[in-house]
Amino acid sequence: MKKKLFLSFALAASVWLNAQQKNTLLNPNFWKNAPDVTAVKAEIAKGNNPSESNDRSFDAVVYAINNDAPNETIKFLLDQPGNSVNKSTHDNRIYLHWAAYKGNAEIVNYLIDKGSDVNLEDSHATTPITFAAGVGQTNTEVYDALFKAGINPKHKYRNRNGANLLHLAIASDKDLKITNYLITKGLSLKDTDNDGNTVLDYAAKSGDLAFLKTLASKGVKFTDNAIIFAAEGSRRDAASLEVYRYLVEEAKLNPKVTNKEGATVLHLVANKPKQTEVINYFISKGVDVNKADNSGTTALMAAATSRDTEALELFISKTKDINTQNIKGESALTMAVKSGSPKSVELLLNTKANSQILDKEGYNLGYYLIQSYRPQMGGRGPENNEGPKVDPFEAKSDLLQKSGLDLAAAQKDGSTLYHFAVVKNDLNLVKKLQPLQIDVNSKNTDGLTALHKAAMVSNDDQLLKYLLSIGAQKETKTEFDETAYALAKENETLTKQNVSVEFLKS
Amino acid sequence: MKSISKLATVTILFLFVTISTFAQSSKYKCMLQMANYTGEGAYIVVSLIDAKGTYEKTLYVMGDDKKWYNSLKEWHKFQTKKPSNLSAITGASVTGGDRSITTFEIENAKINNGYKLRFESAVEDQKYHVTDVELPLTTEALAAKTDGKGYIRYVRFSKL
Repeated sequence: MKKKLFLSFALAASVWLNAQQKNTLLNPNFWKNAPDVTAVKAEIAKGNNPSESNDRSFDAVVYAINNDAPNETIKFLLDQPGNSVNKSTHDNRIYLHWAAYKGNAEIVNYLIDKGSDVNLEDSHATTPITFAAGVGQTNTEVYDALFKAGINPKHKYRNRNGANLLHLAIASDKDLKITNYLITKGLSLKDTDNDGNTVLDYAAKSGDLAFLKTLASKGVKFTDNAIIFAAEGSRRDAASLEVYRYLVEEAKLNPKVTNKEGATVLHLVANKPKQTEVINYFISKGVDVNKADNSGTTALMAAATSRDTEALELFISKTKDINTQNIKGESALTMAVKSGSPKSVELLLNTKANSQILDKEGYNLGYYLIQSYRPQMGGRGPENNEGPKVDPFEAKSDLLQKSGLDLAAAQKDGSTLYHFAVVKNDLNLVKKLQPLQIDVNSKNTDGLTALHKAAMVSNDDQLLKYLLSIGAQKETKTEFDETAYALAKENETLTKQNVSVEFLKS
Repeated sequence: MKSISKLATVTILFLFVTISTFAQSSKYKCMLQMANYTGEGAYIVVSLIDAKGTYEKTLYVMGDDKKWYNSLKEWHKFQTKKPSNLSAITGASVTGGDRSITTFEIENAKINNGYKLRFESAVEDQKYHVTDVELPLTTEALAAKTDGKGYIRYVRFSKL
């Protein structure tokens, strides 16, 4: 036991060490002390690359901007080769996004002068100005600079359902600083988006009752969708029961409102913690617990993805058929296996959830078990705050087998769990399957074995050698007459790293 | 007599309609082989593009989480303007080095008629390729292997 603990600690430490960047300019700690140009030059002189990006596409410039480094430092970094003004960084954002978001007007102006694209959309269809407005950036000089560069203050954003900057900013603009500024630019508290949602509806995202009352007293109207906005909330917060009571009882909004995807409030709060009061309130107001949204998903299924089991237990007690499947063929148990906790899987199995369920593709829950695998990130597994540390993958695997699911059986398309696991390119995951006694040479209907798949996706020879060690046959050919050797020869990563694949030759 | 000829006409008409429905489109098996890029699974959408270069129809979507659809920027504009139900033509996203074998239907009238097939691709935090693969929809091109410019190594087809 002691040894095991020590090992897992050592593993966590090594993962943590690996995660530290070798390039000091990509180490967040370097940026904590607002380094000046001399400090940055010293790091570059030591061989640290000022234009390198890390695996999440952050580079030194982005770190400098986001950590409020002196503007001279930021400008110096922008002058380095490889840091052009429209360089794509995390989430496809350019430096102008980050500078606008941080409210750094001097750098915003500097980037615009250098030809930065003020209309560039990141991978979430956010432009520099909507990025700034969305976080409630209050430095109006940033907006001034972007308007001067050609942004129309009254633009309705197509990818945001026709919302304008006022809609986007309001939920984080409690003192109405940006709102009042935008009103001087021609926007109005009466503006609506393409669905008729009002500024007040958007404000409901804040979950701040006093703020909503202030806005309502200015004559701004709600629509029923305010309940949806409140339930969606921001990423971390959840609105309190008082907010919903106000919206339903005082503003007289319809508690049974659904969003465009057909989801009710219950769907939207189901995977948030501590929602029992809210859920019971809306059920008492007539919202149907069993209602499926347009994708066939019920609130029970949404709750099964949560780390917290409070809502799940409540929905289990109120659901007619625990095995209802959505359009993809996923049940609540599928959701729990894929993204919930072992506790949720256990709860559902104990209430007669069917462990033999198949999805639309004919895959059983074994497929979802593989999808649930997350390489442990420095001990920050999903279970870290739930008492004794358990490996969620193994816990779920045990529960499913005890309930009678044969994890060694091939799927309808001939794939085995080896096929699914190999594509994750993680030797630890593949090794976890060994006790299941799966036939490693099984071919799927595309004519591929696990070894073929491994030859295509591997970054090194470890996975391939492991598969050979457990009996994978080299000779088998795909329906395009390729051997694992031929596929590995085409693998650019192996070629680039000069990994010899001659051991695959039969 | 009259009724017989009427019946014959109806039967012929019926047969004609049936045959033309059958002949309208053909199924193609598409083998898409990804290059070994590093990063998350790629979202790929296959579209039918008309002679003017505009989107006409979505044939297949690889990747089922709608929140990433806006990263396929050009296609997303088309899908937002003219939403079509994608549930029957959606599969999983494809990992670097892996391959995906899918089938889709193409109307025969579109072949050798100026149309193109476009494979558009996006990977989280990485470059978006509006035409990772684009091939003219001709009998010849469908028989060959077409190399990709981005995350796709190549695609090839066989008629079913």
